[in-house]
Amino acid sequence: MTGPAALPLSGGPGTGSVGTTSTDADQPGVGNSAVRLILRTFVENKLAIIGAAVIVLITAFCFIGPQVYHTDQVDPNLLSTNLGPRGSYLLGTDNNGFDILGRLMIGGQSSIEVGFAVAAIATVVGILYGAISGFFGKAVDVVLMRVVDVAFSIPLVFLFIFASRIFQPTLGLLIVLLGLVSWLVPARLVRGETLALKVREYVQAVRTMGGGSARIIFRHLIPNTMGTIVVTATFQVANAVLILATLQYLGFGLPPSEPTWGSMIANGITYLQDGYWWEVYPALVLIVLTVVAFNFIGDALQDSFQVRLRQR
Amino acid sequence: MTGYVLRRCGQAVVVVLGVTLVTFLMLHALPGNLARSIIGPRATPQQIATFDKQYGLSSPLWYQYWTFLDQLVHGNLGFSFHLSRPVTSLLAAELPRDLILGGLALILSLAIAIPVGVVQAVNRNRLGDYVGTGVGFVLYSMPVYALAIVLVQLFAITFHVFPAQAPQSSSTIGLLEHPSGLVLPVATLTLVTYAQFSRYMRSAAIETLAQDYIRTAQATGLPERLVLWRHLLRNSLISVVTLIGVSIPVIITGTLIVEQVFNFSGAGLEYYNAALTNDYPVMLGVTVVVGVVTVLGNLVADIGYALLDPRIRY
Amino acid sequence: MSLLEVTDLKTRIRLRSKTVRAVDGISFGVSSGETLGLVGESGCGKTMTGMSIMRLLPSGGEIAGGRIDFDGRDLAGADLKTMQSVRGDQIGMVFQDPMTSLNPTMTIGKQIASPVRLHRKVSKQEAMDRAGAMLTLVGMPRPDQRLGDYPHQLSGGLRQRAIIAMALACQPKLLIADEPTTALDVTVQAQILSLLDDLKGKFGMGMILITHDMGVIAGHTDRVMVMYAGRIVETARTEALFSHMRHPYTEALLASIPHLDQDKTQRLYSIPGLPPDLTSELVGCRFAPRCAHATDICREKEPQLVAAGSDGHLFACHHPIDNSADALANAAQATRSRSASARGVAVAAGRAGTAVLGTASAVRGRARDQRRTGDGTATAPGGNVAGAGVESEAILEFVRTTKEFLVTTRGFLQRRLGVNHAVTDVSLTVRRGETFGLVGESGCGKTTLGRLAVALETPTSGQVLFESTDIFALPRDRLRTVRRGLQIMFQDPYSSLDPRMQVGEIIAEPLAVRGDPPGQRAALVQRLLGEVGLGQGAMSRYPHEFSGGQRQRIGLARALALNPPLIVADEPVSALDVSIRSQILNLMKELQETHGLTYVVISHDLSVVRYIADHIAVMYLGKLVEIGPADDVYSRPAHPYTRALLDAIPVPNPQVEKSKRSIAMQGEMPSAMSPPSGCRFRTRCPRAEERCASEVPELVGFGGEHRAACHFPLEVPVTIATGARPGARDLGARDLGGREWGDENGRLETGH
Repeated sequence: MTGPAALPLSGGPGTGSVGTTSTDADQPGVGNSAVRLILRTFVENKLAIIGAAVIVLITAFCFIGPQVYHTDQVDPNLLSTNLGPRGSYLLGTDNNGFDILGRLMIGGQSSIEVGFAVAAIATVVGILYGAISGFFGKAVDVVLMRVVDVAFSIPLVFLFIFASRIFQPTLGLLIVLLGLVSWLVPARLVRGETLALKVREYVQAVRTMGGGSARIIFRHLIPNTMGTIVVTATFQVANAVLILATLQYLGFGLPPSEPTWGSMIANGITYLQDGYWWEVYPALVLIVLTVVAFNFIGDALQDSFQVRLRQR
Repeated sequence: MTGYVLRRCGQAVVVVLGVTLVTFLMLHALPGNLARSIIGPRATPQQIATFDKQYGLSSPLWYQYWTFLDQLVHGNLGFSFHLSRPVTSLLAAELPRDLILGGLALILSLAIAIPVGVVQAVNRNRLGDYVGTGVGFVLYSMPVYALAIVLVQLFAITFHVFPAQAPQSSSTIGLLEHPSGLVLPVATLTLVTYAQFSRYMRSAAIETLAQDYIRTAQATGLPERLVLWRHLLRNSLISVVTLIGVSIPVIITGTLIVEQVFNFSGAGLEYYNAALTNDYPVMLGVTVVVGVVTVLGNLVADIGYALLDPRIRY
Repeated sequence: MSLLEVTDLKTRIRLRSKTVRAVDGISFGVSSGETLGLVGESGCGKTMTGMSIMRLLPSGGEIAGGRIDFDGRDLAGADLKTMQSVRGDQIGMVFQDPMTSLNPTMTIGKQIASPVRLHRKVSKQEAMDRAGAMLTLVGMPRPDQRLGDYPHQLSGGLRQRAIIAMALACQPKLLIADEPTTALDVTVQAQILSLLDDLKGKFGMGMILITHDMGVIAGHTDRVMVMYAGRIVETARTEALFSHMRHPYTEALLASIPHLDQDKTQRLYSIPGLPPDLTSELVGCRFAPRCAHATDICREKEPQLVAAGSDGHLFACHHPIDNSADALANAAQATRSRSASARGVAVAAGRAGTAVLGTASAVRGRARDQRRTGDGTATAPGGNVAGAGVESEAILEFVRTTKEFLVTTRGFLQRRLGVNHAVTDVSLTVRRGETFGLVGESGCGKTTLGRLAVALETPTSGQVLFESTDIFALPRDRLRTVRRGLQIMFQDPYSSLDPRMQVGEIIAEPLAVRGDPPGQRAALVQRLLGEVGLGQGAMSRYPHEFSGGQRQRIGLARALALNPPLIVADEPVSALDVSIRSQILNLMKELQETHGLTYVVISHDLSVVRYIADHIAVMYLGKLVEIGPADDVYSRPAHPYTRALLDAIPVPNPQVEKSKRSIAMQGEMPSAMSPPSGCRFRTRCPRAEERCASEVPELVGFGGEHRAACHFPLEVPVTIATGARPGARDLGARDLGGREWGDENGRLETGH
């Protein structure tokens, strides 16, 4: 009666039922649907756009800024200490006479570098660890997850402070150390998703084709955790910036010769009572702005991916 | 149920052993002569010999770990040569003060987060919800010390309402005799913890609201207030119990920083000072205790969850 | 004056960027003591109609117009306080999914007592007493103990009883039951529906029964309202609707469900296309794009409801079906009217097909003849013979296969809680080229058996032979190669395709695993897409861009890619809407012929299996209880369980359905963790005696290959060698198969 070919290849999802009617028009298109979803999140979500814009601006400020705005951040200028904002020093100077504006630019570089690098390490390690733990399950899972439990039980800051007493921290070392402990959260999340995904029927279908574990993990499980991965990676950047700022503030980060936002605040806090607000608040605002911006993006992405999960 | 508790306890023991292993390895990661780095540059040969003997440093590594565990079990967390006192007695004096700080913050943050989360979920995507989410967001994105600085600026420097320093009494009771000095440290830690809870509480409540049984309850004519009270709150609270366990590391880290900023004498401040003076026994002692407290907190939260949720029968 | 009078109700649901016109101007009434059936496919607005009356619309939902007059007030405009006093007191509601509709952290007793305390202002104890009384009324075993139970301690059927008790605790004047049995097994469904009928009588209340199942409508409603795309297309008294339906959609809805007595050689009627998108402006008749009768006027002008004769029969169609033969519905009507005529029900003279087909036995005879002719001429390679292949060899054999799942606590030290006896000692043979049906209620082990067949599970003991090789004795790499011949088609079209892969990649994946060069894959994928009726454009698109039915097509194409001789189809159509099901079943049949496939079809839906399968095995709690040629098993079931299952299926024929006065079977399936001793069915069996508890029944023959495991079977055992040569089977079918069709749909004669 009805040639199956007569079926329209409608783009509309489902059978048009009210409950499952998709709330966004799924446009057929080229490329990976996860990438499209991320792009669409940015187009549709104002907060995500604001977040991205802030990050671009701050990155430009830190890396291009010093090319345009030349300041000396090496030799203290004891003739002009603790100056308030004025024409020659737009944001004033600190107790060593360093120009605050220029110092903010240099000081932000490490935050941004560490943030991205740590998120990259944490995500890659976390994906592999979590996927293996979740996929193989049983004893492997129990052992790997107990290791995560142990690591979770010792707050990071304590470990870092200890490590900083043994090793002289450099940027590279900080990245490695932070990366080594930041994979815990992605690992747990990816494991959870893997546990849920591995019983999905499309994974079982691979088995009936004679496909092996590697194909299942790399072709099916990991691509399907992309949503979670992208979201946690974003939050990881925010977290790394936060931890770094805390370590610098406590004085256990990079050596004092290298300016950072955290150490600027620690330096300036002594003078807060004297009303030298410019030595504390600009750095503080930049830290919070950076972290908020990444959190905005992470949140927006999470929302989009959750909507997608519900539609699945 | 008993079986579950026993197994969960067994698990906790495994994790605690892991924590001690990590601290043991941290100890051995110290550069150079272990005794010398522990005791300090002015160590006498006699002191070094005693130390080596006490920790069995000439024996195989596993035996050293065994000795280390044995010491821990007997309440010996090492000796601070810098402070000339056993770490155990130091922590015994400091931990009650941390408990007051962390405990108050935990209770207050829950007392704020739960009702606010439910109200936000019910009024989802309205102005109040956006404001609540926004505030939570900013708090969540702030370093703990930044939050402390802002509070100090507002309440101590601009308006002289509360002191910018914690009470400097050495006794725990003394702490409570000057409650105004406690306000800012506790408020800082409360806000930090609240930021953790608020997002979670809101989404847990939203998830519960979407459940079929909420609709069933509405279909019996139950007024909204009672729907919230009988069905929404209880079911969302169950999931918050586990969150308390997860939030313990956040509270502990927060305590360290709050103590540093407000000069609040406690284990966190001891850790910070010990780090400045390379007083490793204190650092390791605090790390072990912090690890055990975290594990215990998670254990209690998990058991509480199992007690509260009738679906779980192990 | 009706109890409820709905006038021109319009319900809208505002989504982020668009508005769904879920209910678009419908009017109807319900009187006390009357059951109104609301039927239609998912998304037709039937649930939203119920929710509108309760004013419990999802967020974004609102009543955009019309009146809902209930017992003297207009609920459409009532304030929240009024609604709260009406809900649960005047109007009760029962929802679809009993598993999620009760609060998991509150005892059953408290939940049932809650509306009583609320509306009756009685003490806690009085409310709890009332709850206990209600539980007794809804047939809950040991009601007083159940009061303190939590929902998870009850089975689905018992939970639904508790929900009914809660909805009726205040003796409402109207009960709205929204798909109350869709989530339940067929035997439990029968119990719940008859309970609802009883209670309606006892309380003298009006009832709105929302369902997609025409069989449920036939047996349990007084009047019917057929909805399509938010509108009423036809409404009538139940008997009148089934005997004189006027709207092509009603007709099509009924015709696309396979009936137990469906002619298996005929393609199923299927409605092309999908229901319209309710967010867009619709012009003309909403069914026109899928209607074979549609003309220009249908596409331009929306038809209004007009009366068809007396007694409130209304329909909205420009080209209604008159009672003359109708080319479109010929095939479908034939099957339906055939069953009617067999039961001696008067069918309108001249109705399509009836005259031609005559009596039921004639039909059967013809069908069998056709098949035998088919057998004779079939020379397809691979022994492709649908049905009773005379010479076909075994392709898949289970030899005393047992699968037990160890149920343990989670974590490191796993404490053993017990053993789930999923499949126990099952032996059966599937022959090349046939379709083998595996039926039973959920938890009977049929899915596990299917998964064993494709090596997704490993048997605890016994063997699974594929083309005479024990697949579990093979080394790993050999198994990988061999299992390519055993493919599976899954139930859930949403979880069976990787959402991150393009359809082209999905279908090509088996080829990639096999190591085919990429160049070859593309051509094959294109061919496969064509075969399952999807265009080439599908290749570069993602699964979420397709409907459920289309996804099942993709799943089928993937299963076909390795050109396997055997495909296990696990509930291939259960997740689909009725109008889509027949499309997939037709396609499966078609592909079986062109590819020489053998199918193992697993389903809880006996009508589907009846239509598609040549041989059938019935399972109960892990055991095989009856097996044999489909005709034999359906026409003269020997096992009381098979009989009860058949009786429980709602038949879309009011006369037949309403004559079923007793419930087929009491109780629910016990846990597979502790199956009853002896015969596992004995706890629910009307014929059980002491012997059943002590002695495990063996399969005995009932002629040909028809065998059943029962100490007190409904048929007389025939002591011809079981295991049966094809010749014997043929003989058995001929000699014993011609019994009356009359008891096909009748109830269990013995034991009542």
